Amino acid sequence: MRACARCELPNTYAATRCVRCGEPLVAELIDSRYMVESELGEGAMGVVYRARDVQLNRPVALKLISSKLARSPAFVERFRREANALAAIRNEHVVQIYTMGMHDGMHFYAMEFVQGRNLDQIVVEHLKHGGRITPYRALTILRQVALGLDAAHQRGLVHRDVKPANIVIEDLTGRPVLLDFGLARSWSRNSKSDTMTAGTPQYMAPELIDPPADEQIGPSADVYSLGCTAMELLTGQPPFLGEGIFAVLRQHMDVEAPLLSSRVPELAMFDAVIARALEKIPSRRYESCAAFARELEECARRVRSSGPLPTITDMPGEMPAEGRRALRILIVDDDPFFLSAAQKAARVAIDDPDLEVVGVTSGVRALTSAINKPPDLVVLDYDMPGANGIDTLSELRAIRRASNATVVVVSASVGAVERWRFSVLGVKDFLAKPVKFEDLCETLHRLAKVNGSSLPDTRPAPTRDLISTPSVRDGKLPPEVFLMLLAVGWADGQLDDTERDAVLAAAEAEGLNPDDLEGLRRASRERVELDTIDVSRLRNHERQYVYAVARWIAMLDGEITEREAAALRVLGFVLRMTLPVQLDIDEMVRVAMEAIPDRENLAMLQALREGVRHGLPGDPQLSI
Amino acid sequence: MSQRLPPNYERVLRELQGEFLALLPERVGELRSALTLISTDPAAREAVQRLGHRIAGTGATVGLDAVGALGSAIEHYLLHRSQIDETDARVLTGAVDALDAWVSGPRDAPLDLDDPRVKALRAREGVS
Repeated sequence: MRACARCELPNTYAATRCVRCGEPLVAELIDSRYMVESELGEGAMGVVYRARDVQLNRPVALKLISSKLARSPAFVERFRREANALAAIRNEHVVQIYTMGMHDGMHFYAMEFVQGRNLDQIVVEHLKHGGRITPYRALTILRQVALGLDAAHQRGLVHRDVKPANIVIEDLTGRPVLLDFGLARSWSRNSKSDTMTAGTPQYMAPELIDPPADEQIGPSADVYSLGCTAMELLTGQPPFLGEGIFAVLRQHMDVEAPLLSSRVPELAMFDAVIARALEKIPSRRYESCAAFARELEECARRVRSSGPLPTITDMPGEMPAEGRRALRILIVDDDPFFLSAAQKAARVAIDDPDLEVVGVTSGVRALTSAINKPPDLVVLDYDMPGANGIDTLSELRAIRRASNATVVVVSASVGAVERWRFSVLGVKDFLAKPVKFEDLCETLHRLAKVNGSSLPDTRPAPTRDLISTPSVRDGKLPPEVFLMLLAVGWADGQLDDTERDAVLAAAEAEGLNPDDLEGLRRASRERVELDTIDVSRLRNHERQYVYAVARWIAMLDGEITEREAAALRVLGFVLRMTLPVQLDIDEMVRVAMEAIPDRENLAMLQALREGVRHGLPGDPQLSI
Repeated sequence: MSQRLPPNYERVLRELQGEFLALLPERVGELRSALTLISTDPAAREAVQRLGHRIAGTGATVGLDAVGALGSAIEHYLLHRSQIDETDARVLTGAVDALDAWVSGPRDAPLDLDDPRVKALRAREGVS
């Protein structure tokens, strides 16, 4: 383990610069994959770093467990068990774990890096400006977090430290994400769990403060903490305040929680809903976070019906499949001329004949449009008659299919005050009017790329190893690769359900982020013919995609048919012709073999190896 | 122009300018109509302010910065005043006259922000 030469801070995290004094350090990858970039925070369990996954070229949060705790075998075992449970949770409101392992004697896990601000910061900013988060938005966030917690509970995990600081609103999408399961413990209805006292005083359930000898600590502890969080989001303060930790803890134990209406009289209609979550006796609370979420949804519906926007019926339940589609942009501005200019800017910026651009002049029309045709990107004015940009975005974030749209606010009013008001809603960018047409075009171009649109890339072809090229859209697999993957994966026709599930499961195991998974899911419903693939668009993609493709093909049904091998050969050919990288076919085959648990298809894999070695008939370029 | 924007960028911008200029006489007409009632009718005042806001927003977007600046001056003039009197109405009308003259003219040069009528407006912009 190296130490910084200047300040002697141990470099236990493989950073390239000392996180304390900035001194350059010898680069070392954690697990041959993660390059530490900066420190995000330190807690009792260890340190969390922002790092880059150099294989997938995407940011991750890397948690390293402190060496002191790592010396306890019991702790390590619990850490592993619970990290596995957390990794199994699939919910967009729970931070996703990608992998875990050991490096240089230190246990670590890599998880989704959520760029955004936490609710504690957002509440503080609102208070500083004399405001509160709007009830509708607060209730929407709380409902989503409740659903995330319920997913954790279904997997037998109790968070035990639910609080505003552990909920981040993602800048790009406004998605609330529950972080820091560092205090989480396994829980089951049939066994008594660890009852170690832990948590943050303002949000701790009574049973966490004084663990009962004969009862387990279950999901109702999280219901209580979420109730405290709800109180803070809706009123600006948690239920109990006091001088010193013990004064607060004592109130959790002995004092009835204040009603919302005692602080904000107009919230009286929600008193009973929050009070039930804050019951002292666990059995008197909601039986689950899902039940709490249903009540919060009903509250949001009541607020909505009394808000500035008329009630619009969202589509309930499962959404109809849309299939693969082009990028869709929604522009909302009450000035018809600016609307027209922004629509043209979108068409200039995004050279895609299939691009859909919808322009509307009011918040109400925006919501109607978003329900019928969920946008990927929203260009939103703030100052509009009737529902302004904040009202509109609050509603938009609650529409199931449209809730994760990337939003840019374009308005004459984008000062500090507007920014903090929008912060709880998730806004990727702000543009101040008057905005130059060119700037508008460039912003839309950039955000469309963030959304994974099939933009033609006009930059010159790269001349170095693309694994370290940051142009691969932060590790997202672009749609063309989905197409290629699918073309290769079922060269004999459309995927059946089993094959599709296998692809998606393999993609999830790869740690593909939710946006990419959704793209893959959409693409998987379409039949793809090899000769319709626009191979010219593949030039910027990394060779690991080839390995991933090989692995996924192999996992589809455990074998690679001749047609699949031929298709893979085409892919190898395309990448060789367009990328200045060497394809390591042996490695590719090895990866594919590892993906087949029983290795029954060695012969097929050998055939693949031979097939790729021989390349396309008549093309001398392909001899590898 | 950005290297990343396609070649049709300039053409689209020119088209937008043309559309904006074609629309401007209508906006000027709306401004004149609202200005006749501005000192007595709050709705008229709001209309002038909104029109100024829109001209400010879109003028600069299509590359007509001076027109955008005049729109902005109209909007801010009203933002800074609780009451609008006859003098205010006269100053605002003068600025609109200047805009009208430019729109109706050959437009071989940008709108002159040194026009005395525009300067009068801008000089009083922050004076209430």
